[in-house]
Amino acid sequence: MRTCRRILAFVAASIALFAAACAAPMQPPTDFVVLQDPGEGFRAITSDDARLRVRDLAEPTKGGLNFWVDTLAQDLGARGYERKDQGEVKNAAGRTGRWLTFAANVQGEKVGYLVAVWVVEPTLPWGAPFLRVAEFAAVDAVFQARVEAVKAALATVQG
Amino acid sequence: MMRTFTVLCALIGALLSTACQAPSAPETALAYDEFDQSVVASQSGEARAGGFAKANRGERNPAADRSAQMADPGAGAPPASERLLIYRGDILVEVARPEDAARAFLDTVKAWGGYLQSQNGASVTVRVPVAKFDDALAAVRGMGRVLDESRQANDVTEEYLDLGIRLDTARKARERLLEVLQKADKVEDILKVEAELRRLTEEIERMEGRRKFLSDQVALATLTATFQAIEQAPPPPSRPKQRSRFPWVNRVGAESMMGGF
Repeated sequence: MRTCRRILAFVAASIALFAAACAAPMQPPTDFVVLQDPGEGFRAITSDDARLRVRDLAEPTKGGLNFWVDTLAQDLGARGYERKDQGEVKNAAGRTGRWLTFAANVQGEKVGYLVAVWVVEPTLPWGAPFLRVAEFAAVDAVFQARVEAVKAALATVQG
Repeated sequence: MMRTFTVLCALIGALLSTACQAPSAPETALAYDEFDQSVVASQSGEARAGGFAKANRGERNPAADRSAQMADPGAGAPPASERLLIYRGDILVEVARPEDAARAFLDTVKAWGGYLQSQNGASVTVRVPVAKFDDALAAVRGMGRVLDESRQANDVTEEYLDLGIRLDTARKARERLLEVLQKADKVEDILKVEAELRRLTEEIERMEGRRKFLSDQVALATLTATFQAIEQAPPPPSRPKQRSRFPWVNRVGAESMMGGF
């Protein structure tokens, strides 16, 4: 009987872990449709071609959130991005991240770009830190129309 | 006794004559103030037809003719059929280098016989011969993109003619007073006549000054040209990409989002 209980607990824990692993990394705003085709990270689009992506990027250097946000702002600036705004956001796990918005020019078209970063420390001693990055981009008019909804949805990012 | 009576009668006559035809000093001052607020003739009206439009077509400019005629304010009033107009204009243009544009414009104005009245940075107010007023505006227009332009013409014909009549009357009254002064023998009479002569002379000088001012205003148009720098062009759309020393930073960006998504 005791063995049976242990087996049931193990199965329940496994199912819970599996469910957590399979859960979407964020709840996108309405109008966004999650892409099912193979691609990097979690991706969602709208009919007017606004694009949203969440992914984990490995980074061995243990920089803090401020370091990475400053680096990101500086390096994107060096690529010709014009910084517009920035802010702080807590994700679904209560982890503090930062978002930045930029104006960029992609193939002659003015594009709005938002990037949000959370630094995720390894839970296991041998684990490596990584960065959870959410990105949102669209042509400027579409970006302006949807950016506030995307900022609100950043609070649903897992991890 | 009879002589004194005659002198006094003449003096009273002269006083009444000047009092009826020449306004008192405060009224004259009021006329000066009113001048600046006088009703302006519309650019599309008679003023424009007589000055701006004809000058543009290279035809004879009545205003220019008048300016020559009025070089000597005492030469007599112009015919009543002609209008005496004071031209003023303001123009705002966008140019690449405002200071250079202002300098070039001033050189042109000087070559036409005009002069600088005031300057504030790249905003200059110049006086140009009225015949060159349209040319001056055209010169400024040609320097850049016109953002704003206005012109106006103040009709001072009536005031000018009125001044001429009043001056003539005042001068005649002064001549009569001088005759009276020569005949007067009592000190009291002499003092009275002299006092009236002083007042009359001041009146005449004031009117002559006003007429001269109007002549100058009619002969030379006033134009304020403001040169404004062209707004800075936006930065070039994209600079050569510089790669970050951190690989993950190179993987994010609008390019990857809008391209291989």
